[in-house]
This record gives sequence, structure tokens and C-alpha cells, in this order.
Amino acid sequence: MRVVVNTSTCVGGGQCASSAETVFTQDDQGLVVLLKADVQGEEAEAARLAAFLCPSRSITVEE
Amino acid sequence: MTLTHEPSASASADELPAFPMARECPFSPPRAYRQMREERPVAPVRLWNGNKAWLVTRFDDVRKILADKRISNNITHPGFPVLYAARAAVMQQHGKPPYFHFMDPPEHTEHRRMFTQDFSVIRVKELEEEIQSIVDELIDEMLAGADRSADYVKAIALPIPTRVIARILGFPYADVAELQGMMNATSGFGQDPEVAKRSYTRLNDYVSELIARKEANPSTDTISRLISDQLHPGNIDRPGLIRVILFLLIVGHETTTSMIALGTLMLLEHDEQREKLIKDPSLMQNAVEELLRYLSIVHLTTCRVAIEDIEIGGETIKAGEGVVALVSSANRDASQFENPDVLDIERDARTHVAFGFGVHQCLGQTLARLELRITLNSILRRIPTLKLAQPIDDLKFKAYINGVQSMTVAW
Ligand code: HEM
Ligand code: HEM
Ligand code: SF4
Repeated sequence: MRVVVNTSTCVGGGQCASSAETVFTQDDQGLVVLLKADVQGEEAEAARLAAFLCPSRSITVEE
Repeated sequence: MTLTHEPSASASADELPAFPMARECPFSPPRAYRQMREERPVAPVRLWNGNKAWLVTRFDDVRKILADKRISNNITHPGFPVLYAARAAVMQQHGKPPYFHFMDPPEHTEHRRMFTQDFSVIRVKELEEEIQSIVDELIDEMLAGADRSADYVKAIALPIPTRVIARILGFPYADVAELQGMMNATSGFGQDPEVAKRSYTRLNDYVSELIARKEANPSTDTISRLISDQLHPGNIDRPGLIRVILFLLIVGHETTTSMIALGTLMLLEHDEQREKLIKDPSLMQNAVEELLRYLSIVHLTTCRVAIEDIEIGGETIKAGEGVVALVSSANRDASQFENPDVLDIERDARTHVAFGFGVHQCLGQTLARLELRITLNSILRRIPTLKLAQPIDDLKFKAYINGVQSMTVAW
């Protein structure tokens, strides 16, 4: 599964980094940073949850 | 209440049910929300000033509307649903959105980003030890008090988040108690609008002096950084900086105080769930999400105004009309949470909207989660015999942000 993030709409609340910590982190401004674009198994599950939780819809996943 | 299914245009605003609605149970959203979720998920209501607004009650719709780009959080817009007179009085003084919470993108994005670094997952994690020692110190003080009994709000729930946010922003600890008094007088349904305005002015003066002192003597705190990175280059003006600092101070402590008090109360009243947590503290992270969902203490702030017509839940919200996205109702929607009226610390509650949704979702959520986890874990571990020492029916609740004024506990 492929993960894409859009930093221009990110509001930095950190839902992604706390729900899928091996896939997302935040930079020194608090904005999303993608650690891994291709994820499988448990990480894909966590990334899917992060995409659902992201309040600004800045995360998309492509199967 | 009766819910009509006629188009809203046929009913004049004064025939509509009044909003906010009273709760029958202090721990449950008004019963009418359930009926609305089932029968009329987007329903018109009347506000204190006679204006009409729309309630959105279902989980999916609440997320949809709060993430919709056609809504605005500009509280100075004439159609914005302001829920009580004292709030309207304070907001009218400003004339334009007073701080980023009431701005819309792209202005909102720009201003919110001045603060995102202070509340990121990484930065909050760095505060863990410090928060733990604040919690330990306050528990020590409570346990050292007389007759194995205390007001839990005064001893634990209020000072923990107040000290933490004061520390992050850079407020002198000695001033925290006085500030708390002034802050209390600026909010609340019953508050006299004139008293609210005066208190706001005093707070303003205090922060203005604090900024001046930090300009003269910079340190490593958030306010000093804002002065050099945002105020001096002209990204924010001085009155704007004062207002946003006050806003962070207030939201940073009031909400978390309520969650600590009511969260503890829930665990004290649910023996089985409490025993599970004492046996297995690793359940706490999940329990915190469930407590956030169940209590949904910030239940009335998610108000917006439509800036274009929006079709949702079979209704059309017209441009210029107010909307209230009821997160407390969404969090009790059985289509998302099975047996939603039951507190179950083992359920998967992570998708709750207790921190809101859309671009205004809580900036301090990672911090709030950590404060709750540390506090509740420490309380259960260190005072397993803690109990409520007053009849639960006598508790005095707060209405705007759900909470308790005081709560006598014993051990
Ligand atoms: C741990 C404490 C409490 C919990 C977890 C709790 C929970 C609940 C729940 C789940 C319901 C059913 C809600 C529904 O079906 O929509 C309810 C109803 C109710 N509760 Fe509580 N409750 C608590 C304490 C209290 C207290 C202290 C009072 C009174 C001061 C109270 C007054 C009521 C009333 C009047 C109703 C009926 C509401 C209706 O008519 O639908 N509850 N409560
Ligand atoms: C358990 C405690 C907390 C709860 C339940 C809570 C809940 C919420 C909710 C529901 C919103 C969205 C309001 C809306 O959309 O109209 C919000 C926004 C906000 N919260 Fe919290 N909050 C909590 C703690 C904190 C803390 C500790 C801070 C620290 C500074 C904080 C800072 C903010 C800010 C700045 C906003 C506005 C964000 C924006 O408009 O972009 N909150 N909070
Ligand atoms: S959850 Fe979304 S808005 Fe929040 S930090 Fe991650 S990408 Fe940004």
C-alpha cells in the first residue's frame, strides 16, 4: 500500500505520529513527515487508521 | 421535545426547540440527541438571541461538516451561532477573529503553525518526566493533608494542567493562582457580561506586562520564542499575541482539569473497570480514549457558520446559517460505537471526535492525553483506596465545558 501526505494542509495535531509512529513523524515545526511510503501488514493497518483520523484530510492511502 | 419533519422554512425560529438543551444526566448528552440521530440527524434549533441554527448529530455527518471547506469558524460573522450572552459580549469587543481558533484557512493555517511545534508528539514526549514529577508532588501534598480527605479538583485536577501549560508558555509559577481566578471570571453561562469584559481586560494587561518583561529578559520558553520569531518580524501584532497567549493558557488547563476530575470519578464509580486498570496499567492508553469519548466534555464549542449552501443529512444549510456539530452526540452514535452508553475501557474508541475534527481539531491533544495517562495511572497506583466522599447527586457541575466545581474524595 502507498501512503501520500500533503504538508500544505497539515495542522500538526499529531494524530498520525501517535497512531502510526513508524510511518509518520513531525518535523521541527510540528508538520507531518512521511517515514515510509510503501507499507504492508500492521503498518498498512496503522496508516489506514491515521488517514481516517487525520482531521485535515492530509493523508491518503492507495491500495 | 417533538421533532417536526416539515421543512424548516415553514417554522419560524421561535417555534423551534431551544439550544443549548439541558442534560437529564450529568454524564450523558441530552436525551433529545438520540432521537435526532435516529429521526432528524440535521435539525433546526433556536438560540438565546432568537437566531436559528442547525444541529448535526451523527458520527459521519459531524466529521463531514467539521472537515467541510464551506464552513467558517469566524465568530464575528453575523450568522455565527454564539451560544450565550457573555461570550457574545467578549467577542464583539474584538471586531475581528481574536486568535487563530476563530480564523479560517489560509490565515488559520499560518497562525496555528506558530504554535504547532510546542505540542508535537516529539516535544510532548520530552515533557513526560517533568509532568510525572508535578503529579507526584501534588499527590504527596494531598496525602500529607489533614484527615485523609481533600477536594480533588483543587488538589489534583486543576493544578496539574495549570502548572504544565504555564511551564510550556513561560508564565511565572507564582502568578498562576491569581491568573486562574481572573480566567474563571471570563467564561461560563451564568457569567455577568460586564464582569467577563472587565476580567478579560485585567488578563490582557497582565500578559502585556509579561511580554514586556520577556522582551527585556528573553529565556527559552514559548513566549520568548514568539516575541523573537513572530512579534518582532511583524507576523503577529502585540494585541494579537496577547490574545492568543491567553487563549492557550485558558484552553490548556480548563479542559484537562475537567477530564482529570470526571475521568477519575468515572473510574471510582466503575469498580470492575478500575480493578482491571490497577492490575494492568498498560490498558490506560486505551482507557483514556474511552473516557474522552464517553465524557465528551467539550460538547458545545464546535459551532460554525455556513459560507455556502451545504446539503447534509437530507437538509440544506443555507449560506449564513449557523451549525453546531455535536461531538458528544457523534461519540454516542451506535453506528460507530457499539453499546455507546456503556463505559468500556477495553473498547476501541480511538476514532472518537472528543477533540473535534477538521482543521480546528485540538492542538493540545497529545499533551492532554499524556497528562491524563500519567495522572490517572499515578492516582490508581498510589491511592488504590481512593473513593468519592460525598453523595454523587450533590456534585455541582459546570455547563459549558462539562466538569465539576469541586469533588470531595477520601482514602
Ligand atoms: C457514574 C455516574 C453516572 C453514569 C455513568 C451515568 C450514566 C447514565 C446513562 C448511561 C444513562 C442512560 C442515558 C441514555 O439512555 O441516553 C443515564 C440516565 C440518567 N441519569 Fe445518569 N449516570 C451517572 C450518574 C447520574 C447522577 C449522579 C444523576 C443525577 C444527579 C444522574 C441522572 C440521570 C437521569 C435523570 C437519567 C435519565 C435520563 C433520561 O431520562 O433519559 N445520573 N445515566
Ligand atoms: C482533555 C482535554 C482537552 C479536550 C477534550 C480538548 C478538546 C478540544 C476540542 C473539541 C477542540 C475543537 C474545538 C472546535 O473545533 O471548535 C479543541 C481545540 C483546541 N484545543 Fe483542545 N482540548 C483539550 C486540551 C487542550 C490542551 C491541553 C491544549 C493546550 C494548549 C489545547 C489547545 C487547543 C487549541 C489551541 C484549540 C484550537 C485549535 C484550532 O482552532 O486550530 N486543548 N480542543
Ligand atoms: S494527522 Fe494530519 S493534520 Fe495531524 S499532523 Fe498528521 S498529517 Fe498533519
